[in-house]
Amino acid sequence: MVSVGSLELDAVRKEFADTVALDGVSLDIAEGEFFTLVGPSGCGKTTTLRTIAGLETPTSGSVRFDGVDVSGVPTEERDVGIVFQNYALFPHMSVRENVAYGLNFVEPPDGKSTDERVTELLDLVDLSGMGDREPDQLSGGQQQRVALARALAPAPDVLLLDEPMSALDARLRETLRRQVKRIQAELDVTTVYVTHDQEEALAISDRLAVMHDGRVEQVGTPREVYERPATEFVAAFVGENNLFRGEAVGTRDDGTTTVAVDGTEFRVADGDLAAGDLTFCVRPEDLTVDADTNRFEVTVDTVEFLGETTRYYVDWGEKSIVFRTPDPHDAERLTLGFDPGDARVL
Amino acid sequence: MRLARVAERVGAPALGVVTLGLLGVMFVYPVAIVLVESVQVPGGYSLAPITAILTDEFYFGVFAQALSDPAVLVRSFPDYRLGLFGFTVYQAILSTIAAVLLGLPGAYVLARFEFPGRRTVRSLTALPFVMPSIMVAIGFVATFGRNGVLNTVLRSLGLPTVELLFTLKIIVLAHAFYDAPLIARITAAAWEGVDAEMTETARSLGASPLRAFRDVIVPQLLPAVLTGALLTFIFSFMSFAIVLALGGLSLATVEVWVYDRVNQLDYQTATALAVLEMLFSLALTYAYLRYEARQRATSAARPAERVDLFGAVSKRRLFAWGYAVVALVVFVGPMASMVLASVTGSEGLTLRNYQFLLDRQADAYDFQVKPLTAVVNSLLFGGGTLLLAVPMGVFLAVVSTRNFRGRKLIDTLAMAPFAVSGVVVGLGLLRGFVFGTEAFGYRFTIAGPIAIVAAHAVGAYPFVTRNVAPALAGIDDSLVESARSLGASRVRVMLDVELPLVVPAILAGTAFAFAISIGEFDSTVILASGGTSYTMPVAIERFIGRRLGPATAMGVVLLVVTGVSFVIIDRLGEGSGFGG
Amino acid sequence: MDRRRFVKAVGAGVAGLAAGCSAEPTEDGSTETTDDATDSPTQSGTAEGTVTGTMSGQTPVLRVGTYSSYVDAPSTSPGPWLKEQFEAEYDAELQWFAPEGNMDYFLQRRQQNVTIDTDLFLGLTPENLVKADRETGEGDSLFTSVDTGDLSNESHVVDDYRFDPQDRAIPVGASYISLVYNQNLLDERGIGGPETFDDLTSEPYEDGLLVPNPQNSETGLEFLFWTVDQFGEDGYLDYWSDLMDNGTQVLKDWGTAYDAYSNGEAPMVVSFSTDQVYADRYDQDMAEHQIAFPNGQGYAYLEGAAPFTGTDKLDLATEFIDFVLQPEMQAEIAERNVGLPSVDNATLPDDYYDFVHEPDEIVSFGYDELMGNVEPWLNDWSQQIASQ
Repeated sequence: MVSVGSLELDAVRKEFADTVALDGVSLDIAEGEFFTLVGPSGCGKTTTLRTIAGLETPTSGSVRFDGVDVSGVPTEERDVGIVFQNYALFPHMSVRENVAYGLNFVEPPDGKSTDERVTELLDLVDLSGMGDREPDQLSGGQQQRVALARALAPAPDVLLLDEPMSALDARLRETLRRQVKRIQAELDVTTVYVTHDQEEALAISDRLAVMHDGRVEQVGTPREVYERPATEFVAAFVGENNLFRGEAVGTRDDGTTTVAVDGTEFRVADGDLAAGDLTFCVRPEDLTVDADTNRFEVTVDTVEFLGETTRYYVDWGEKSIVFRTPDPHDAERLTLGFDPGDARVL
Repeated sequence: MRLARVAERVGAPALGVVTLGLLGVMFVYPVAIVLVESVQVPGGYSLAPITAILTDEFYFGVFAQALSDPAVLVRSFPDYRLGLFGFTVYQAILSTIAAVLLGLPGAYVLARFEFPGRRTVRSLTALPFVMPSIMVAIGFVATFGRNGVLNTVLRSLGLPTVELLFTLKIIVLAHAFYDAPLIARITAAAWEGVDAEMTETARSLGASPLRAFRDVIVPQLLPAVLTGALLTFIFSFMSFAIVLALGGLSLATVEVWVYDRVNQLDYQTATALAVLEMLFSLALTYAYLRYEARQRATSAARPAERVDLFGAVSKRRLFAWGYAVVALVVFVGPMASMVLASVTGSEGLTLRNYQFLLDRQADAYDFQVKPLTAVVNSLLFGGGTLLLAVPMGVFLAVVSTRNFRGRKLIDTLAMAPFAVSGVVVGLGLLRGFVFGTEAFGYRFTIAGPIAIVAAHAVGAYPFVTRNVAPALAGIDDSLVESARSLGASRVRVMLDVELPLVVPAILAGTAFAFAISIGEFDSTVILASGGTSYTMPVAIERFIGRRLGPATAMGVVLLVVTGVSFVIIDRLGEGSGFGG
Repeated sequence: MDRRRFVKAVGAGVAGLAAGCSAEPTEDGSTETTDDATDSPTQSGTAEGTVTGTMSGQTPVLRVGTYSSYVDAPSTSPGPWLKEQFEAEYDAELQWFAPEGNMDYFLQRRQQNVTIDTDLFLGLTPENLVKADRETGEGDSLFTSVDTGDLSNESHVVDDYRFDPQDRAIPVGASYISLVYNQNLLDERGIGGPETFDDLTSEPYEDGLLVPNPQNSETGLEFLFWTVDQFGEDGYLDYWSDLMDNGTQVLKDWGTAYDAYSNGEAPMVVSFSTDQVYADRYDQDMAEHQIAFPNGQGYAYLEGAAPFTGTDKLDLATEFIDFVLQPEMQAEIAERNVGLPSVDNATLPDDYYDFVHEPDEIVSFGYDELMGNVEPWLNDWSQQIASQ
């Protein structure tokens, strides 16, 4: 077996019959890292995961575990653990048998017996005493944890999670998310996590890759990706955002650039006059009522009370804008504005 | 651990070699040495014998005429002369329709109702399959004849009687008797897998129950129904004994002619006809498999609750009860008539026929047939057949779910034992095995139990394959992928995950494979010729005389023995926890 | 049993079965044969230790091929009795061999150049002899001639029954094809039994006749010959056309036709003139087992015994035929086979002829009339009946 901690994808391309699923994906995932692939459905994130697992063979490019090319190494010899979206528990085996299954093929770590290892893992996922249940007697969340325990039992070097939370309700997802993160940290296992939920991706990852149309748009820590989206797609996909397309028309003494958007001029901090047409984005929380700069008048369309904050969907001319504020406003028309430093030019 | 790995590595290829070897020896070789005569002419090979048939009006009717004079298709429309082939296809289509019409409600009752003995009834659905054609003919005459049970009942009720014997209708009905249970059983399994939520969703969207059935359930049942329909069509297409016994020579099929030509030692025509039959059946199979490949769907989460068959009158209960009456007449009737015939004589009720069996058992000479030997042989051969046919069938099912070029062709050829004329197979076995094959200065003969079991296995494994292949294809890929990611080899995944999940399908195939073995007559009688390897159907044939009593008593023995066997096979499956 | 174990149990079960294969040297003409190498493929195993070798000093074995009901019928069959009698008289063992396909089995072996180590065939019909000669070709034969000088009772063979000019097949039994009718059913129509062939195509007898398929049944085939005799080669097809128009049914074989007849599906069936013997034996209503000889004729159903070419026991085979032709044997075989003796000096019980009817006129095609004709007659007829 190939022992791995770090893994690399180098210009991986995957073509199916008439579509290109992966178009030159390169990633570098460090040992012990919690790495997330996030993107809308069809972006190639699951194909990437399956390529790492050896369930798909790349059309070109290579996958390296600890620097060693694993092309041609079948899944069963790759030392990976997978949790699928539907958990894929073996319906004809008890919980215990499910968790123990991988131990048929490798010795349990640390000289433990299979029984001890299974008990240990059931404890780890808080399912002590559930070993004799059948999978169909478990709730979704429990099934998910069995799948996790099963994947972890042989102590894989890489844990692959394919949308493991998507079938669960919101509150359970958050609990489980924390549990997964805790277990991952505890075991220090390199983890690749696939999700379409950017919020989850931001919350759980050490680093993440935003994927779109078979390509990696941006790789970075959650903060980097959130605060410095590299592309329009990332800006729009990760967190809520307001995109403004316009033309750089001048530069001010304070270093800001003036951008004309549909006849209104805005000042943004890091613009470049030479760019001509440019797009910048402003996060909903950076838009404020009665700001000093970059003011524009909007009409309120929908208001959502979220508890801590309130979200407003407002119309600015033809354009729909979203902003969040802790302070509620009753007016039908508001004047919004933002600090030039909060505008991110893409 | 190491040894186990080696065994795993070697196991699958070994099974493949054994399967292909058996098929080669027990099927391809004997069939090929006979079929080659269809193209053998003095001094070489030629397609002339086959084209001669294609252009002969007797065989192809208006279609043969049309080869030289296409206008005839317009001129004589719609009053076509069908020819032997045309008529054979026509009756097979009617038989298939009848079997589907009789089988579908059966599937509905089996899948959606609960009633005492339901599992036993399901187990026994394979019974018609084991009935030798002689018994079906006897049972049908006794049930549907001019003075049969049905007409006697109708007469006593003051209703008009029906004339069915010696008509196309009775042939169609007899084919349906054989194959409707097959359709019912395959379809019931699919029906049990239909998720209740789907119907409920359709209903919530405003669909009437019937509409929901049509839009939601039917599409999901279609692959199963069509599997059954395909098998029914092929079996009816190749039908011979039933046609001649109940319909008469005026309603002859192609297979009747194959048999006749062989009897007249005109092997060229016989084999040319058999080749055409085979090509037709295989083409149909290929077309079906292309369709099936597109249909494979995963099975459902929550099947609908069963309805108690007994309870307040409702539309669906009335339907189920009505069907039960029809089933009683069509399926139980012929078998019950046989039971009745076995205990009646000119003096009224009698056990004389069973006494005959006992006497035979006690007094028969070595060269005569003993009932108990026949029973034991049948069971042994049936068991032996399973030992061969189940692994073979499962192996070919596994092969058919792998993706590779030419897969469908292999899939189609795996069905060949159904597509080749039974008469030709028998002739091949006679020449290749009983007479033996010369090689290295020796003449090798294969006969007796080993040859019979192998021949039965070849005739039975396609049932296992056709049952298991769709079930395997329906397994969620992620189960397989999970197991592999946990370190299981492809073979281990198959043994640990996939096969256990398709046990119900394997069991269904097993039951039918067993039934095929028990009921097989044509090859058995050739391979057992003159020896002590005779089976129950052979004994039945031997016991036919001026009075049918002894034969019907043996027929009842056959029904009881196989009925009990079916129940045991199914109970074994239920014991495994996944029987339903 | 859990499912995994079930699957493994089934999967692991490709176990060895009892052997049934054998190999035999083919190059020399050795007469030494092992048990398995005889043309009875499955005689080995459970056969009760019978030694079938032919080494000197051992009881010689005479293998006699026949049809299965001759040795194993549910009622009575002469086979077992004949074996006992023969073995008591001669220092020889008689081994019956009744393969599926009867004579065709041996003919097929011959066609495939496989040795036949059965010594003679009993139950050979004229049409089968003709068929065998047709297939083996000029100057060759499946059967070999018997020196009739060695048959002490040969001169008493009924002349009408002799069918082989070359004396290969010696008649050893006879019977008559006739119509069997159910007077109870005919009473409903207000008519009596048919007296002529034309009756069968007339309105009162509509839907009245069941015929075993001549393609599969000797009975049916000989009935077909009878109609050829009656209406000529040029007329029999027209007659059949009338028969079929009148609702005649041609069914699979004699058993199927007789079963349908017994169930009252039709008042008449083509069968044998010995039918009442059985009816008497089983206390059946004699009105349902009436015999009719249309035009006063019956077609002679003949059975011969003929040694196979290449038998190394022609003398023993001849002795066997001689034995079978003895008047006492003929009488007993006739009773047990429910037929007629082939010799005129066999004495049957007086009441035997109460139930075995004989026609005024015997119809039967001899070898020369059948040779070259059976196939075209049957083929033309079959195509006419089955044309759709």
